Amino acid sequence: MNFKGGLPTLILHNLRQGPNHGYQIAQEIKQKSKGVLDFKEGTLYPALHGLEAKGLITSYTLTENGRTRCCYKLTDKGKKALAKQMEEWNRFSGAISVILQEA
Amino acid sequence: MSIFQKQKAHDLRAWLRIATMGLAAPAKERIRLEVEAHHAEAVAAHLHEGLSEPDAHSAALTELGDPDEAANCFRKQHLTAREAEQVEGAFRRLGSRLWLLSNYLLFCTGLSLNFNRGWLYRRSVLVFLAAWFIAAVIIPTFNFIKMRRKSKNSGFFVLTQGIATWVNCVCLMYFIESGRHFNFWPFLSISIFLIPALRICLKLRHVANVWDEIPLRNDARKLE
Repeated sequence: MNFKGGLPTLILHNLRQGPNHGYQIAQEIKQKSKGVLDFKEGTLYPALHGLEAKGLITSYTLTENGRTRCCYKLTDKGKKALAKQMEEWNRFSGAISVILQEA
Repeated sequence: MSIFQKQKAHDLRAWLRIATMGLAAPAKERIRLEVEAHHAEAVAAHLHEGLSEPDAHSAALTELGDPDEAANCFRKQHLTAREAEQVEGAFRRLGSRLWLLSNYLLFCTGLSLNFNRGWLYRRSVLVFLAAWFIAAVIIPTFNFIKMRRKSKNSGFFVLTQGIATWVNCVCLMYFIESGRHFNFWPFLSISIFLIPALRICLKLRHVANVWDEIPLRNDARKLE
């Protein structure tokens, strides 16, 4: 399913549980959606970098088992943005559900 | 082969080459490190699932997706080599003592013209002088300090300096023309100089670590 616009919200939601790196974020989103939300992982990094530019997440490098990886962490601004986006999404999906149930 | 034909990535190196084409070296390096780590983990996961090594590499590469699409996204979030050069030049100018001094000198020239012609108490001239003081003294000094401290909001400073330079030119022209009238066309033509500043400002809004993406020459020398 194509969900380009929703990817930043899902990334923020994933980082709510704690710092994470790109590969793990991608796998967790795919697993939690049971494969419904499938996306090309190459587009994950531009989304992460975009969120970083907005100050919603910060990055730091970590060396694990001789491998350097970049980890991302949610900022306070990111937490607020996530709460707002989740509220908007709940309202939006709620409205769609009401209309579809009527039909 | 047509030049419009999409390039195919047969391995990770080729994928990275296409995805980071034209980007500044620090941005390329950051993306390379991240994507290589991602790919290595994906390959390890596929090997664990029982795939052969070539199949695991191929599956991991397929999961990364179209490198051209990734390149389009990366170009929005990172500086290209050309943009990095422009930004570096703008930052170097804003942080240079010579530039600051030339702004002060420009303002002093205006003041001396003003005194020579005995306009000091003309209301319209005072308005121009106040604008000139802000544009030639306050803004460059503020930007100079911020640039030296490598402040985060760098795009905004480039834009304010662009506007300040425009005001400097307008005031200088006004004083040279003896403060009698405005000539519309020269003012409009110098507005063209605002476009690069605006472009840099808009681009830098989407770049996360601007200072990491421009290898300033002084820093590069220190690293050597």
